[in-house]
Amino acid sequence: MKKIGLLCLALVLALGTLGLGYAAWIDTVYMEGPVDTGALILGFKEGTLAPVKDTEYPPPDQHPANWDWETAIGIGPFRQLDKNVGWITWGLKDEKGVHGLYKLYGTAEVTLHNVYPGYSTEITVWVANGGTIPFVIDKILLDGTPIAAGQHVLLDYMELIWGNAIGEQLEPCTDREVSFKLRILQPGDYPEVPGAQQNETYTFTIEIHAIQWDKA
Amino acid sequence: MKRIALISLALVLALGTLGLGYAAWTDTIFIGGTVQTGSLDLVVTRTNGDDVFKDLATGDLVYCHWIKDVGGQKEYGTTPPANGLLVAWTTSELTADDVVTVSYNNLFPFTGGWGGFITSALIHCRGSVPVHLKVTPTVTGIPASWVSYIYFVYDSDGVLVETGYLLEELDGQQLHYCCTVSIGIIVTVPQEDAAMNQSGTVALTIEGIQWNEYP
Repeated sequence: MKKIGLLCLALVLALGTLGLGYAAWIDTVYMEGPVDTGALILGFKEGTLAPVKDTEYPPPDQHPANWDWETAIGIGPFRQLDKNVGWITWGLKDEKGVHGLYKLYGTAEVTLHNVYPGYSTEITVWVANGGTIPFVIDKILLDGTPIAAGQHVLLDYMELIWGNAIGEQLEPCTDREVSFKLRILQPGDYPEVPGAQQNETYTFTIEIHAIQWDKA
Repeated sequence: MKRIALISLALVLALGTLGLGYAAWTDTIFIGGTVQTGSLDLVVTRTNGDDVFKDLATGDLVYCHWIKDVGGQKEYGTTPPANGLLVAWTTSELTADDVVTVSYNNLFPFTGGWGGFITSALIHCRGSVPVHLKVTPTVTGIPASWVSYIYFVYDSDGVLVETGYLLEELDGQQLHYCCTVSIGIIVTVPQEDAAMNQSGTVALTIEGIQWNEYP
């Protein structure tokens, strides 16, 4: 019985020693914090879409400021005519938010009314980086087909030259002007296309695509 | 089993790396364009002609100029005599789109009316694009000196703005939407026996050319 008592005492002492070996003061630190990602936002700047040639005033208004313009085949210098026959309406839609003092929009709509072969105009609009990430305007597509700056493009009813901006970077909170010129085709101007027909409505879409600057 | 698990893991990592390489933030905006073309259209809306009668009751010559809206009936300026013999007459009829067929029948030396026998057409500018007129006359079979012309140009309110006899002066005339021009071909038979039993044709081609492409 005395032997058993000694054994128990030894066990208690042993366990006590073990506990002494493991016990210690401890402390823990944590790292935590928010992760805010940036935004890549390309938009048309409020109030900047407009034709350089011609106005929104339809006939019979014949104020010289509203007279139409024409240019030669291939789109060269513009020459003002002596009548107001065609006119243009335009607008921005699909608001993408406010940046600084301006709203940004995702779609620019331009309508050319009562135009005819030879009628020509130039459309200009400012695009802005409304996000926080620099981007590059890496491609522009006309009806789904990529076009280059200065490239002359032939559609069935008009010819068009896109002006600029492809490959260019825009830093956040900066903007720049983009533009294109167009001329309505006379049947026979180019043998490969029919030219504009009377009383028709044609549509086209220009897609401006931007990509984060480090991936361009 | 362990081997299959390792291969799967490697595949997942590889696909993940691929995604990382290709993905990028992008944004796109659109310019939507609509082009609505106008029209250029000259439409004949009325024709004119002459009927010349002998009033069998009095023996007098009765000159009856008529006008006829397309699809309508003749309306005489002077009512034909009840007992009249139609001696000479002209016809002027829209027979196809943009084609006016005229005829001059049994003409004789006569300088009344418009100075001879006339047919004419009233041409309406119905297009939304202004035009310049280009007029080309053709006379065959009879002397050109028998044929003369007259024209009247009206604005969109129907106000006469120009009139004349020389086609060269009508050439280049501008017509805007809803303006009209009436063009007549006058055949005057001279008072000479050699003019009898002659047969010929007259024609007038009137082109409307969009104003910014003329000449």
